[in-house]
Amino acid sequence: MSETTKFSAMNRRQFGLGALGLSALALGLSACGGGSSSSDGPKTLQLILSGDTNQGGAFAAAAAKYKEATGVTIEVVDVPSADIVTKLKNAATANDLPALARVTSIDSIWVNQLQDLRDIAESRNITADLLQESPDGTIPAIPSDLTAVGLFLNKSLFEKAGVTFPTEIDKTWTWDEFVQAITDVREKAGAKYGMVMDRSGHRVRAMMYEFGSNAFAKEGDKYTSDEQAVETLEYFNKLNDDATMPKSVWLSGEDGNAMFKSGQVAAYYSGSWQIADFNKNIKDFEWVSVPLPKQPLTATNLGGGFMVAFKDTGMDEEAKKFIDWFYDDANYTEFAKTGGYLPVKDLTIEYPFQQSAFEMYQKSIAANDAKGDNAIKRVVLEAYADVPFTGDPLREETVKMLSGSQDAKTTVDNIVKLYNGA
Amino acid sequence: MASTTKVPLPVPGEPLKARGVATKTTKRSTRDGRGTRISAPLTIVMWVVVLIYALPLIWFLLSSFKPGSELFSYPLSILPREWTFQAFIDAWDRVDFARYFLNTAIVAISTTVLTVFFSACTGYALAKYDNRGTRIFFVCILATTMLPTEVILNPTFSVIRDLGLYNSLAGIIVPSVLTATGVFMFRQFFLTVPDDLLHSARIDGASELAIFFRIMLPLAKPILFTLAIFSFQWRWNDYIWPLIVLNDPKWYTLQVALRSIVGAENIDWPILLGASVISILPLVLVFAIFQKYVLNADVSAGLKD
Repeated sequence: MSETTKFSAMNRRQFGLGALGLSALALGLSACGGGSSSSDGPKTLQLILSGDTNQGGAFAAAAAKYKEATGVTIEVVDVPSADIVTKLKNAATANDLPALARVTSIDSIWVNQLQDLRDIAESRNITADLLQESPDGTIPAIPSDLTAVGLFLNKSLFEKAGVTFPTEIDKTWTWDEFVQAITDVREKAGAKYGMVMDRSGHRVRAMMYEFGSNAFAKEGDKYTSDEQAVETLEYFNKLNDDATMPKSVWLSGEDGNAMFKSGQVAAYYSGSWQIADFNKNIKDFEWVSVPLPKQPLTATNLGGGFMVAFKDTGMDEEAKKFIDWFYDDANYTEFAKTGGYLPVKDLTIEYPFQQSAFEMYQKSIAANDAKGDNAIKRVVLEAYADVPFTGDPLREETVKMLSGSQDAKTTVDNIVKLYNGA
Repeated sequence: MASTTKVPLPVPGEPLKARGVATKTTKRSTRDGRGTRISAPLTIVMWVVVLIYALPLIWFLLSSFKPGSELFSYPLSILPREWTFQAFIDAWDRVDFARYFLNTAIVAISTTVLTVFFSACTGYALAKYDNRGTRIFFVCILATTMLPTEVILNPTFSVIRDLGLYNSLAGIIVPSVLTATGVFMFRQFFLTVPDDLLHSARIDGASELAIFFRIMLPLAKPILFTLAIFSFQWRWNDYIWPLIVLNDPKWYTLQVALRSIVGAENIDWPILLGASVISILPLVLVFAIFQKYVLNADVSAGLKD
């Protein structure tokens, strides 16, 4: 019996048994998992969101309270923030959209499947500045939680250097005064850097508003630019000298939050979402929220999430009922308090911590004189663009400028081109 | 004379002996000297390498015991100034570990069992049933190692989706069952097992399956354990593929679930550190239990080639 013919020695029965075993195994495998299509009761609505547990579980708490009040279950699905865009895109193409979602960006793929929330926005008195009409006159999304760009100072360093800072919005400093102050702090108190700014187009846009630019507003159907945008970028370029600002944050993605927390930086240009983190994780020095510099305008940039309800999910009315309940004064106040969110309607909220910091943000939103539309409105508007742009052109082109490959004017021109879908 | 001859005899003998001892000791001492001269720098190099490997891990472990306010404080210190377990408590509250451990365990264990079984079968067939068919098949299997996983990610995904395995644990188990590495390990091992064993078993009337299960598989125990441990480790740490295949948070494996701690605007470092440390514990446990097999098997696996 030669080695080559051994195979036939395995008889048919054995082979059959083996094959049976294998297919049973495969069956068992495909049974474990799969079948995620929700066949729950008729009174369950899915709310897809991201980052809720990171923010104290405010949405989950609201959902639980709603269940108590009405008996309707809101199933909160917390998806990693990097995945929510893909998840909803897939859901839209598979015709499997949830009843509700809390999103930070609106996708042109599903923007036309959103319910009109105008009646709720009006009856619940949502701040009109935060609502963006769609081209056909509907209000497709209501902001659910607001954030604003703001400035944090390392108070201990400022006091050590004997440098003063403004605490009232109407007595705020100009960018020149601010840069002078942080330079003094750096030299006198031995800070490593004057300031850090997050690597984000959203932050640079706030700076542009302060310089009086409209920060690439849409005029007609084209995005435009102005002189002040160039001026802002030139100013920003000058700040990135590895003394006033470290180059590593914008060029190699170093974490500005971590640098500020190290106590080595005098000022941090970021936003209201940092308050909860700083409250918990800064113990070595004192920090404070101060008004943003102006040059010449007092301005900030708004951000945050939107509450949306999808059409034709079989739960259209129930979804709207939840949203209506959510924006009720008492319910919304509790939500904002739990999550540390700035309110989207005129409410006085007693936050469990850092009340003065939150008040500073609320005042700066009220005093916002920015020329262009804030990010909250832009996000909705951009979803209806014929040629949607991808990524964050403002950030990417600014990085190119900082690395020395183009000047401020070219940067602005490139940004406009990219926004217009070139 | 005799005395004179006797006397001088031990005299040359003694120095001889003494010389012998001396030469022996000098030999040993030179060997030792050369030994330490060579081994000292090697040992130092070893410790440097150990340090290079261990430092990030130690820093990571110690950081998980630091309160959030200390993580970025300047100057950095390796040892926490204030020890706290808060990060672990918060992480345990925040992440539904029970569910994710279960999902990951299902994936890791079933994949490991299947991988070991199929690799053993395939490796055995390739080693012992030598004909043109199996040789072509072996080349085909080897060819799969020539394409990086990232390259075949897309086609694999299409196959998984069309099989209806998208968003299910089976979708991560099935594609990872057959690894060329495992097949190769088993084939190389079974090649070293003498064919005489096969022949005598056949003469005794054993069927082919009995030979495989009762003679060959027990022989291959070291390889079996090595592959099992590696496979378990690969599946436990797998990130990209589960990330692509799983869509519903309730099927997430641990590594994918940890991602939700990374927020859009900032990262909750203390919780991320705590959760990461918890996530590696089962793997450490598996390694602690099967350690001797890993080390043993590695040595013999190295000799087999």
